[in-house]
Amino acid sequence: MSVRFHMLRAVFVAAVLAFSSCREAVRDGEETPVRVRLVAEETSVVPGGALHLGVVVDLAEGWHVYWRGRSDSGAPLEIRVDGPDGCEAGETLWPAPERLVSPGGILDHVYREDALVIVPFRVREDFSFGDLAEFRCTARWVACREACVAGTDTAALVLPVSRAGEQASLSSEAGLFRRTRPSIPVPLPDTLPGVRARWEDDRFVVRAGEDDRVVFFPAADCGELADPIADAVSDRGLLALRFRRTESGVGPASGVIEIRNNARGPAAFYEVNSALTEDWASD
Amino acid sequence: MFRWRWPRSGLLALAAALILACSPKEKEAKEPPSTIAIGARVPDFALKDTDGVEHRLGDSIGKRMIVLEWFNPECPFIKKHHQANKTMNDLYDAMKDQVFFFAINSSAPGMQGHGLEKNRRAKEEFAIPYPILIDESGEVGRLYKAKTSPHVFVICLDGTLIYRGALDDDPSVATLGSINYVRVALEQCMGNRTISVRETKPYGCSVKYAAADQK
Repeated sequence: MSVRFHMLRAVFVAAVLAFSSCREAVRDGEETPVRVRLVAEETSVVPGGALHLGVVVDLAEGWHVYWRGRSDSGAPLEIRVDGPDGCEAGETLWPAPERLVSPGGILDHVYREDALVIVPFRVREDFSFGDLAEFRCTARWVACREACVAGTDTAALVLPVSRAGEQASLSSEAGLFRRTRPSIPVPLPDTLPGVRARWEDDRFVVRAGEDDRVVFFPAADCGELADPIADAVSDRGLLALRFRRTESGVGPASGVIEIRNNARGPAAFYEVNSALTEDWASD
Repeated sequence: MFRWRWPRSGLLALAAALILACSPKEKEAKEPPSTIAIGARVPDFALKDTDGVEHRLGDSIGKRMIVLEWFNPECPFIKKHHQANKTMNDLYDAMKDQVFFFAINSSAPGMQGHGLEKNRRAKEEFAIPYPILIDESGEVGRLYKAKTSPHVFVICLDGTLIYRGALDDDPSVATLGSINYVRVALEQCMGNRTISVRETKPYGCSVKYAAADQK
């Protein structure tokens, strides 16, 4: 294909992206602390290929929104992305949150800085060529600073459709996806050098390096922790999570483990979901 | 031989700086996680309402059952139950002869929902028929370990705690749940029946306490 074709195509894509950035947020006339944008990692939809969309959650300074796991207050951020027939959404990828302890012993797991939630799509082989594909997202949120407010925002994105088999180019937002992926938890592998996570009596114990910071973020279905403010963070590489015994027993230990050692590089995030008798021990 | 030594005042200053540098997280982490046990007698307190009338909890114990509802008039979860729906007012209407209801606002100065006028207006606007007690120091909220608005405590005639948690089983800001846990606990207590759900996870805005060092 000629250079001219590629230039025209680039201009077209830029125009489409500019058009699609027009949001249709639900506003009540007040400044909203949360805005969402819908972005794509690739510049086009390729039949038979993969597509990665991302919902950028822009937060006003000082505000936070809530992770989908357990928190003492607030409500989890809800995101829904819909695409045209032939584009099937996969499992939404949520970055790991931060702990936020507020006066009164209130522990929340939140996003305090702009976050990217990734929604992978699989595009069917027979997805029609030559069309534009429109995607829309809706985000429902509770955001807090000194105050809490609830709201909804929507955004849309229109992408051109390429020929099947073409290689999609990376968009100008691809860097955002690249920077976010390390904070998306992956399943804790059976073997992870230097990390051991298992039940010891009625405690779920995570052992990492002595200088590692280890944090546990409980999922919504995690058993009730006895004292998560004290137990779920350690700067000495050792967590011993105590659970309250309920009618359904103790646990499960379900959530995300963060292991961070600034001397060794960025933090790693692992998903765990362990009933009392299971063992992910690895040496 | 010369030995350099920290002056005592320097050590004190360093210690003070380290204490000041402690994050709220570290301070909060030292708070005991214990809560009032279900079945235990609740601690007494006295607070003034929006008209300046003092209410002592102990004066109500033994006369009727009691519902304490942590409250913040600007919180969207409170608006769900007091504005968009009339969850608490309906409950009050159904049970006012057997139950004393108190809303308690532990918002600190500068935080959402704080202020006598704001709460007076809310009482009028939401047509709340029971007192809103002002706890701006957060002392009573911390005593009860109230975490959210709403966070509801149900106290039986004998002064023991029989239920603590959410108002209902839908933690969203928009829709009501199908089970009103507070109503269930009150009805079971009235009928001398076993309380089927004694504790649930509360949902709502965080109670807007002052930082521990600002009390």
